[in-house]
Amino acid sequence: MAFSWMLPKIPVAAAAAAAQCRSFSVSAAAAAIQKLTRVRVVDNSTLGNTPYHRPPKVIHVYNKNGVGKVGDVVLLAIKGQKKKALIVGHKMPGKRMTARFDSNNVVLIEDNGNPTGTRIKAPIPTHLRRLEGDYSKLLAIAQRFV
Amino acid sequence: NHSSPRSRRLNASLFTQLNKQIKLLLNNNSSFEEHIFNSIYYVCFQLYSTICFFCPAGSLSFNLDLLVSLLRQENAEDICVIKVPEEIRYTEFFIVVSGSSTRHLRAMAQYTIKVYKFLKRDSDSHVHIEGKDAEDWMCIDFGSMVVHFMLPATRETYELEKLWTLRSYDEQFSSIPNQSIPADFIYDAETK
Repeated sequence: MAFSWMLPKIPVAAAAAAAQCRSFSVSAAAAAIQKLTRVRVVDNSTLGNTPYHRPPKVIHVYNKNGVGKVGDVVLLAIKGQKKKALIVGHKMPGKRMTARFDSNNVVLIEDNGNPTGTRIKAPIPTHLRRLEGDYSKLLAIAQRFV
Repeated sequence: NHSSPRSRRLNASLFTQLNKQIKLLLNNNSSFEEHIFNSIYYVCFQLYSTICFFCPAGSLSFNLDLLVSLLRQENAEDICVIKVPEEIRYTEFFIVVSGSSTRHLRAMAQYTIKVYKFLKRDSDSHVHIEGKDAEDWMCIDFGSMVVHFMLPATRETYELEKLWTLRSYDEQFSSIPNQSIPADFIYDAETK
């Protein structure tokens, strides 16, 4: 389950109340994905969906600069293990006419490139198809395209 | 012009001569590398001459019929072609194919690429094999068609045919529990 690490700490009613009666404006962080960002796993793999007290964090981005955009492979630390994953959406606005997501979405991947889960519920951007890389497997198990 | 009668006769005679020569070479006790080279040459020449015989230049295009007949020729098991509806703007045809072993999958994929490269026009983009180093799943994306070569076990785990025919009514998809977002989740980013 995504965001399981956020839920138990703050009682839900108090959080909702706190959100409504804030006297300051809140802005979300809108950066791309780099080391130590917390990400949300969007496929139906067991590793991504079992609740754990710590969120999955990026520990390495396989890129020339350490900033990950859509289509980049990253190394995650999930449940005390290292796992590769592919970025399918981030909060940072990208090119015009490409989707911007409200959460940093990631799909778990094996070392040989096969996806760990079998279905992806979250929408996947279609411009992945035009990028250089092996994305057909993710597009094959995706349910919604954006 | 390749298909004039004179050139066809020339081609035929050349073909039979070369055929005999290559068969002799193959039957001799040549070394392993020579054997491979000769067999590849034989296959390429066969392909080239078949295409030159049976079509005037440019009429053979790499479409769905050709791809399916190619896969059948390669002994692909369980060829499944799904027509993808226009609303899903991904591709027109989604093809899933099984192979008996990793070597079989790799050979099928490489042969498909070889035929595509031979038949593509200059305006068509190049195509590469995705998942070349995976053992059980390889894909090729030709713009209007996507082919997936999988081992039967992998095919069972992913069940791509079910997903692409049933879309939202697929069992694996509906068994994903609904995810709830915490109440104080900050949605939008006010971008300057």
